[in-house]
Amino acid sequence: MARAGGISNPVNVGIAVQADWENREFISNISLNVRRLFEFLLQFEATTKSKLASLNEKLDVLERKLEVLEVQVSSATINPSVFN
Amino acid sequence: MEKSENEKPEAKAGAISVAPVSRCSSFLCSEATTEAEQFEGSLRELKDLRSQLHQAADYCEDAFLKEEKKKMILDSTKSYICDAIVAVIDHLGTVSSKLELELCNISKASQTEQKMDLLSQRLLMCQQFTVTAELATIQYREKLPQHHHRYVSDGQILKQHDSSSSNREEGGCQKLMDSYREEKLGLSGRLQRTECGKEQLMILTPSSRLKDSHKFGGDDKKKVQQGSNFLAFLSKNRKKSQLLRRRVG
Repeated sequence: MARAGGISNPVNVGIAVQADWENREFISNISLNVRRLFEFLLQFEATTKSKLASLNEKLDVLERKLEVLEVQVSSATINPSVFN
Repeated sequence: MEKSENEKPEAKAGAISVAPVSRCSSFLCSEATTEAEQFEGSLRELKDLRSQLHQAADYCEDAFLKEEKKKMILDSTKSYICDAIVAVIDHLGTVSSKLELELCNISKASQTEQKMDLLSQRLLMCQQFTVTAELATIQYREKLPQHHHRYVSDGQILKQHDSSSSNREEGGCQKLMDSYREEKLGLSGRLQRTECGKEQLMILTPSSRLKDSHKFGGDDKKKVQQGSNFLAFLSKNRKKSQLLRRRVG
């Protein structure tokens, strides 16, 4: 933009510098927001992973309990004398 | 994305306008679809947004290099970047909130846990019922085996035998002690297991020398001999007194 207006003119140089600073400010704002977004994504990933892990653990416990119950019921049905 | 591709020729023609980012989040979609389908749709939109943003960046770069009105292109690119960031945040918020809701509303695990606890309680109830039924069949037996007291040894011996029956390791030592006692006493006593399960020392065939009322032990033998001497002394005294009476008479 500075080349378009001519470097020799000091007014054009001042305008170009101002525009450059505005662009830099915009880029810094954008990068800051992207960083915040990235941090949110990291935090969200961590919380989601922990919740999924707890859910998986619950399901494992339920699966084991179910196996134990199945074995107990099958033993009771095989040996009816237990309930006689 | 289709909009951006359609608007490319217009931009080349002179009107510098960048395709707007689709900000239609899944909240605005039709309510007929289920939540899972909405979640998948929002995820798909987020994935499509990535390629859309890449294409928009390439287009803006080409337009900035080729066109004369660079300031206008720069301003439009800035506004497009702002819109794109807002759209990405909107999509991410939608996806995260839906995932959060899905994770919080999972109640099937707790329901299944409750059902399994109910089943286990039922099993325990059945087991308790069977145990009580079994206990009802068992009755207390009042007629315990009773032996005459003269055939039953002292309580200490009984206690020793009780402890020996409970402790199997000491059974061999106890047997040795019993055999030693039998040899020492010269009795043919032996252990007999009663119906109660406790061992009692009983004299089944007492020796001819010692009769029923005699106990075992060396002191008892002495007492028996002393008693016989005393009886002999009494009989002698009686005879003497009878002779004196006859003489007097």
